[in-house]
Amino acid sequence: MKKISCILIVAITIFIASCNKDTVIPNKVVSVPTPASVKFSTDVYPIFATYACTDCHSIAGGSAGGLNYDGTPSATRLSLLNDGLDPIPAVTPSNSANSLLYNYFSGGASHHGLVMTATEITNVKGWIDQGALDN
Amino acid sequence: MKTKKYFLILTIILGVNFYGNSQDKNAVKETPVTNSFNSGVFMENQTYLTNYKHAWEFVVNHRFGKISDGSKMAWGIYSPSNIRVGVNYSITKDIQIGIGTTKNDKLQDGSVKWNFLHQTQSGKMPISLTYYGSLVYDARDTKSFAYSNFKESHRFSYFHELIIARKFHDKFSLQVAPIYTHYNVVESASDTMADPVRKNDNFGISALGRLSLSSTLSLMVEYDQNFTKLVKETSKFKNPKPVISIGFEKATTSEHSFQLFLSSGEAIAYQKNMVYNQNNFWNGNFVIGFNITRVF
Repeated sequence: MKKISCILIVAITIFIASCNKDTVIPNKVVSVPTPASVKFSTDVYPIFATYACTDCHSIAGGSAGGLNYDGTPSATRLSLLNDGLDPIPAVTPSNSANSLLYNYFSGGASHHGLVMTATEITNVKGWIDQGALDN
Repeated sequence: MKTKKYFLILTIILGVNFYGNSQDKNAVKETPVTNSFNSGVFMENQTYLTNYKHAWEFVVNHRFGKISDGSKMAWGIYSPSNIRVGVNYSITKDIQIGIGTTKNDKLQDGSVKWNFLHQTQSGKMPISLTYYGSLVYDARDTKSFAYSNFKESHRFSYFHELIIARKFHDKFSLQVAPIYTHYNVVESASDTMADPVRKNDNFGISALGRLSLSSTLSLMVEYDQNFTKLVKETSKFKNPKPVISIGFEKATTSEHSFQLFLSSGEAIAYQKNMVYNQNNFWNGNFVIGFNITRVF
């Protein structure tokens, strides 16, 4: 019984000690200018590996959403253009507002709580709005 | 003030326990009711049940994507899913501890469950009472917390409930639980300053029932409601929606249970379901989920 009491006291102490009340203080919004030409292969494609997107969106990961990011940049681009959740496609060329990829990562919708940097978000938006080219 | 609140809760719990013990000494031994529920897990919540002394329980919770994802995603089966694997250990027949890990947000949880009052077959004690508490640690990479005043303590959140359960009939049991949740950090409505969008402390209630359809099959219904409203609703932040779940449980023995259900909760972590659920069950925003428990 002593052991149980000790465990409970430790548990209650941890509960109380680690408890506080805070509010997020956001970072100052950094405005990143969109580059004149965003390249998919160097500015967008590497993001998928950085955030471990390929854990789910790959052939080995079960091709979640019909999306595969583990092929070549060209194959990944085609996957983005052809799939996504109904009724919003993953990428609609020249229309980032109607592209799930941009909506998820710009904070419009939650996707496993991922937070991309301002530069990465700007690059995704720029690439889509510039026609989602295979470049 | 906060410490006082904890002591008050503790005093009530201990007081009820001592009252129960003193009753036991003077009375003829009462037999507690059995088989009120098949398992300690119930769709999106816990039941009052704990396992027998020194029992190990293995738990798998799985939630597919939303049914509303459509036919292209096989109604959620191809969508990203959420899964939790956990283990519980019963120190005594009434006290159980557990740990688990959940895929979404990499949540690591630890829990304590204490069944301190038992409904008796004679009816002298009409209800069972259980305290259940869980602490969740958000183990995502620090860069997922992209704001200026991030502290390690912001990774913690808490869930406490006092489960009041009663077996009304051989085939029907009901359970109600007042719930308190605490998040160490809440979001800001402003993009530049701390402007809390919700309260750190939330209060709610869970009500659930089980109806036996046969010796091994049961119908389950559950409703979890958060009463604490947002400080301010914005286009990005909306009041939490109730978690509504309905399903079936197949349990061939008391040591194994399989639950298959539809639920508007997809977080698995109880506090996240209570505070952050945005799925409206009546608009078709629910997922197919299943829980498996196995006691060794």
